[in-house]
Amino acid sequence: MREVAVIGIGQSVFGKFPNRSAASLGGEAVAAALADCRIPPKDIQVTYAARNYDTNCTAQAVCKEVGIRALEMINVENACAGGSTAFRGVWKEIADGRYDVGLAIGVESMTTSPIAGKLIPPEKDDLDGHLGMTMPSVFAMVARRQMEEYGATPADFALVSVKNHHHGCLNPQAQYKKEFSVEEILNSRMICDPITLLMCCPNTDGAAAAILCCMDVARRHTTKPVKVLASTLLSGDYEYLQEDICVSPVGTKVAKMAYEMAGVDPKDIDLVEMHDAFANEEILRYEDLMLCEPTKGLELLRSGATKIGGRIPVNPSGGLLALGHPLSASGVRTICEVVLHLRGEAGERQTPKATVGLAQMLGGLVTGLEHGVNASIHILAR
Amino acid sequence: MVDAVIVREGLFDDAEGGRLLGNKCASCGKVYFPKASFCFSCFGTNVEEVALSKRGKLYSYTIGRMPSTHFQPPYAVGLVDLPEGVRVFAPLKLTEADTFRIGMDMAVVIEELWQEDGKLIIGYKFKPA
Ligand SMILES: [Zn+2]
Repeated sequence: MREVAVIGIGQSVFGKFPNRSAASLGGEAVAAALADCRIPPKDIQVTYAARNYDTNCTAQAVCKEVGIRALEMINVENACAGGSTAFRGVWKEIADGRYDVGLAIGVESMTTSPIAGKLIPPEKDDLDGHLGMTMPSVFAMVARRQMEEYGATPADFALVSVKNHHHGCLNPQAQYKKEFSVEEILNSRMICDPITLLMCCPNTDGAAAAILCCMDVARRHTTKPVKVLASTLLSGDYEYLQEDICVSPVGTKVAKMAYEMAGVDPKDIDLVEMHDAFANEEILRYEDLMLCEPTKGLELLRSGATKIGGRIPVNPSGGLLALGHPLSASGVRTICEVVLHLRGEAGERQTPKATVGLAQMLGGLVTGLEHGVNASIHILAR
Repeated sequence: MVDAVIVREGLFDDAEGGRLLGNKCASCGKVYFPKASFCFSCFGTNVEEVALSKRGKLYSYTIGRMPSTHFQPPYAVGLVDLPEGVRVFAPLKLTEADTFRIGMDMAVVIEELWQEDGKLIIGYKFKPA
């Protein structure tokens, strides 16, 4: 298996753009990624594009915006891990030696999707979706268990949102650049008790792109290539509404796989970008990723260690909560953020001396399987 | 007279005032709701229908304050643990008092869930027992 590097990263604007097509948003991100590594469109040999809603030859439609055509293009859907899946697809092609340079795209137009303005339901034939299960209702039920079992309070959940909104203020590309207090978050509109509006990621249109290549090509373009140390993707087991809904068996398994593949210890990670679609979720994911001992996620949050400037900054980009969450774009976007920090180009939100970073995504609901039907982790290093 | 249709076949019957129907693995005894076509635990294929207990305990819940596919807010949904070792996701009957708490006893009721194209859609809910 060959070593793979990320040499180009790009993001479109994130926000609500009902008049812009997914192709136009995707094209903006790809153009930025090409400009970032200064390679011409004709050098791209393979493309994977992820999109969740209304997908129909998205890769081809995006690529034609920037002069990439007539090559192998693959479209994928994998809920919130779609972007991670596209990135991993390109990584596999290059690691296996099939191609030397490839493009991963994640794009979503949430404001024009069929679920615009609704709480995100599972797949349309899903029984529990008809019975009122939505992403926020699941995380609200998880939140109630966190309160019952671990002594979490709604103010703890709000604290995650305060942190990530503060981070978003330092990111020029964030959808929301506004500070919020714990009180403002608690007093925002209730969505599913105890989850309030400002504890949920917004609906976002946007795209992200990454250009990957083998090390020979990488060295021709940069003196500081960022290497992909681990690429993992795993789907959930038959553990529907599992014994303890606060733990993610698939999230824990995929973390172990990633650390093993990268040959690094959780202690070695300098920053984490993760799926914080709901504020309470981030606390649980600290534990899956072994950033702290099991059940100690709340302590880690309250200690301030996961803020920018703390021991292990989590979601320095602002996360899905402030940066925004165009579903399939987020898996690529989180990797782009890690790359920026590893290059030392993250500006005001830079993690000092970052050498190893982790990007995680988790998501999807299918009746009969554990919630978080897909989990993916990439570990990158300079 | 409005037509009534059930939300999905095979989930419940009207014996004993309405009860949920699951199935049980003949090899390892694990019980499923909705019914599993084979055992997800031991992969045994010999599964037989069983009626589930009408009462269980509330594992968690939430009150929806935004519309879901069929419900207008406020509506309650929750997870109920039945003695057979099955956790059921279901709408909860929202009472005036709205006093759900984790661990409380819940009982199944079969009744109208929503209306669609002039039909009543019948399914299961839980209410405080
Ligand atoms: Zn069995």
